[in-house]
Amino acid sequence: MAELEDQIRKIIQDELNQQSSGDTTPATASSNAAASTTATSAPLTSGQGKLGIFPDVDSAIAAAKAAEDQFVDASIETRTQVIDAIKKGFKPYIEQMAKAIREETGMGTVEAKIAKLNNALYNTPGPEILQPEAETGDGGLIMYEYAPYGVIGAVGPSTNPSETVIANAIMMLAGGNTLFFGAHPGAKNITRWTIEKLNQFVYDATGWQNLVVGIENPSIEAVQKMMAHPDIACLAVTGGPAVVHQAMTSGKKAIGAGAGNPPAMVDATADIKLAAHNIIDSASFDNDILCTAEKEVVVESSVKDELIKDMQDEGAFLVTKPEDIQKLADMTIQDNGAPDRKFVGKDANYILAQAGIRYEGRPKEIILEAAKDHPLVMTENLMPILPIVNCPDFDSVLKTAVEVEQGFHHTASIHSRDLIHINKAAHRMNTSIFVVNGPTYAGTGVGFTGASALTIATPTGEGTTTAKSFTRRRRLNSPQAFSLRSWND
Amino acid sequence: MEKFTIPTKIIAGSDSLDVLQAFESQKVMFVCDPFLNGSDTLKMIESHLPSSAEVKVFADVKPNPPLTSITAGVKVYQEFDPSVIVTLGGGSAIDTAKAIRNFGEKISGKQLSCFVAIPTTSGTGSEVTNTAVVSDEENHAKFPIMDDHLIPDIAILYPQLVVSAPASVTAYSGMDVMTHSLESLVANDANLFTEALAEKAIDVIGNHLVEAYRNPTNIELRHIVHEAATAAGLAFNTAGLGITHSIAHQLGAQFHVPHGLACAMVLPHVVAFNAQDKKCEAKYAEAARKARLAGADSSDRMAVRELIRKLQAMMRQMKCPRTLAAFGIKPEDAKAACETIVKAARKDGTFPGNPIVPTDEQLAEIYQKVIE
Ligand SMILES: NC(=O)c1ccc[n+]([C@@H]2O[C@H](COP(=O)([O-])OP(=O)(O)OC[C@H]3O[C@@H](n4cnc5c(N)ncnc54)[C@H](O)[C@@H]3O)[C@@H](O)[C@H]2O)c1
Ligand SMILES: [Fe+2]
Repeated sequence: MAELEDQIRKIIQDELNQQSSGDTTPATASSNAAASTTATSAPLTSGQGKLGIFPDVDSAIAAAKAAEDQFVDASIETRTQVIDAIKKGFKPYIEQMAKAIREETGMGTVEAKIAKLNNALYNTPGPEILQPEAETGDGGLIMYEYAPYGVIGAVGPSTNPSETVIANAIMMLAGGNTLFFGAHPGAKNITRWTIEKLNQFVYDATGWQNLVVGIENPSIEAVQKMMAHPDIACLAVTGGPAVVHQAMTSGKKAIGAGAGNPPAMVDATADIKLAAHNIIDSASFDNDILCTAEKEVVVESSVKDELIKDMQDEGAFLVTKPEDIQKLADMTIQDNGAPDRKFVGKDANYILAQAGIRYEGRPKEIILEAAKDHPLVMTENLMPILPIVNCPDFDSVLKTAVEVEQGFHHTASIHSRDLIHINKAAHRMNTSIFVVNGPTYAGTGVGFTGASALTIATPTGEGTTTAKSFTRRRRLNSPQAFSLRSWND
Repeated sequence: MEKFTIPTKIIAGSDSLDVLQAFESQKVMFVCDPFLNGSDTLKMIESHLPSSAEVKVFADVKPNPPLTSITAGVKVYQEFDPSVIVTLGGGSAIDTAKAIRNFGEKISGKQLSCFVAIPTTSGTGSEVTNTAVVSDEENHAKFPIMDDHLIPDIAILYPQLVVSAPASVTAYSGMDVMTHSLESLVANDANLFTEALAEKAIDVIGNHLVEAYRNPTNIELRHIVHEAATAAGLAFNTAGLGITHSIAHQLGAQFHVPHGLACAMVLPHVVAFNAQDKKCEAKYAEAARKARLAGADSSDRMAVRELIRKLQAMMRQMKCPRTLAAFGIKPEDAKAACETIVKAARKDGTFPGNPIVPTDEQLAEIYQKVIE
């Protein structure tokens, strides 16, 4: 065998000498060269990250930036394919996710989360809404298009973790951006799972990676670092006043979704039964943790008793004793005025039991009468406690509602048959979402009521955000052409 | 003098295996891919031989065929003394068979009467080319043996054999076809005939490879991709290749990167490099436009950019790691090998085909782009 090999080597030498004119040695690499053992390819591992999750902010943003540098050139069809992959991929996981969110955050209800996930996935418009605008005339063509910012830094709430990742991803990717998602520490496991799955689905269907990224151990510091990072072009922040303020003072374009305290007004002309149904249904949806959910009712006194009775019929539990009301307030609102996380998004019966209030059945919502300056009225308490404020006439209903909304520009609703009242209230409340004779969750798109709205940009004014909110409006002028209506030779 | 011949009889279709019936009373040595050894497929193919034929199977084939397994094959060749070789498998099997023939005939002083290649990957085009790429593992070297005598007499294109190929093999060997097409298109000995074949293969691969990758059992797709692979093989057999292959051969030798993947990693950078030359740029652009991989009215520059993006997109869609680092090679190791790789690439048999002669620095620059 060795002899045969020598023979063969000799033939090779001869042949190579013939082939390479003059040059005599074969293409031999020096034998101590670094030849590593066969390594298998590792798809979905890029840089130090895996499935979009990175050990630190810098490497995560670097990956999202690298992805953006290519995604910015990709076709609109590519964006659509990516979004379709997300929609298709999560479909079998919706119930599992709803349970996991409930499990990790301890907030809300599984049914509501299923509805919210469906809303985020299948009710968030994609690139199709980014139609250009054009003007033509004697000045030629003037065209406007909606172009990406780049890498967007998003921060989500614990009350909507996966829903926000999904809806933000769809909106921002539709606009041609990529995103870094800063998870809320209280929902970090499900957020990470969502980002990883999303990366897997997108990669499997399209081969794109790191369009949405996050980090292994989310923290406040990481979010601060992200906000200051030069490669983050725009911030989209949902959260409390502190983090929204920070985003708005970062020097970057910021889309801030702040707190609210939505009042539901009920005047004497309202269909009281319907109003009671809508208010209880909407406030108890996900145990009142939606920022849009009715947080207090302001009612004209002539119909107050009827409304309370109808609300009780809808499954609300009325607390009447002043000392019980005091107990509820003391227990759920902390000294600093913020709601106690221990009760945020909990079931009404749990809260009643913890307060030592006797109840029967399985109430959906706790109702009580309170003055307009009561802490339970003025606090965005995100739990199924709905105070009712009594006012003598419609003018004072509206005035009170404006006061308790506190200028958050968030959400309000009215239950009325009087067009003048409705119009006046809609104007004066000046909120981003205003619902007439319906549940306020309609404003978020749940129940076929318009596009999904999980990020409601209240202080920065974009309102219920869509893909368009995460794009820059760009203009093109071409004075020589085109106009098909006139020609100047 | 320009020359274009197709010495190989190419036979395609579901009854193509019937040509084996001609080997009455011949001594047939099968050189076959190990994945087929002992399989029903091999039995089915053997059953097309007349009963008078004597058969010997050699299946010690390894990817990037090393001299050791070729030597073992030559030993079998000497003992069995075949009159016909039928080789069945991926490019590695076909190249092993060609190398066995090369050495076997030279050592025994006798010629085969027929050499039949039946590819089971749609990639190398080895079934119609004069080349066998062999590895000398002892010396970390990989080089092509080129001799027109090694061109197979018959190539049987039976796409059913490709169906079982793993997804990565489909992806890598398909990108090898793309590389053969784009390199031969601009290579020094290209002519109208080779360009026509290359352009068609670019069209088929650019528009259908990813589809075939996603629908591996779709025979129609497999069929056209399989024929495109042979077409591209015909193109480069006359036109020559270029520095994508010169560098890719070194990535195989040094780091065991599968051949098609190595080509795919390097190709976009070489297209960009060669497109500095206006004539090359125009050829790439024209082919891209014809294949609808670039807009019909795009400028040459834009069309080449779109072509490069298309190559990158195909790699993404088929999960091809785009760098050595993504493939698992430590960047330190890759950097350390730079000089060796540049030197060996310059001596590679495919190097003279490239339309522009790069400097060592330029070769190194291209190589560095695939490190991480
Ligand atoms: N001679 C030429 O002109 C030429 C041109 C380009 C490349 N090459 C050489 O060809 C080799 C690469 O060939 P390749 O890309 O065909 O890969 P390959 O032959 O190495 O095959 C890759 C793997 O797939 C398996 N396989 C092949 N066909 C299969 C099938 N139908 N079903 C299941 N498994 C299957 C093989 O067993 C092997 O493990 C390299 O050595 C390269 O240098 C030669
Ligand atoms: Fe090749």
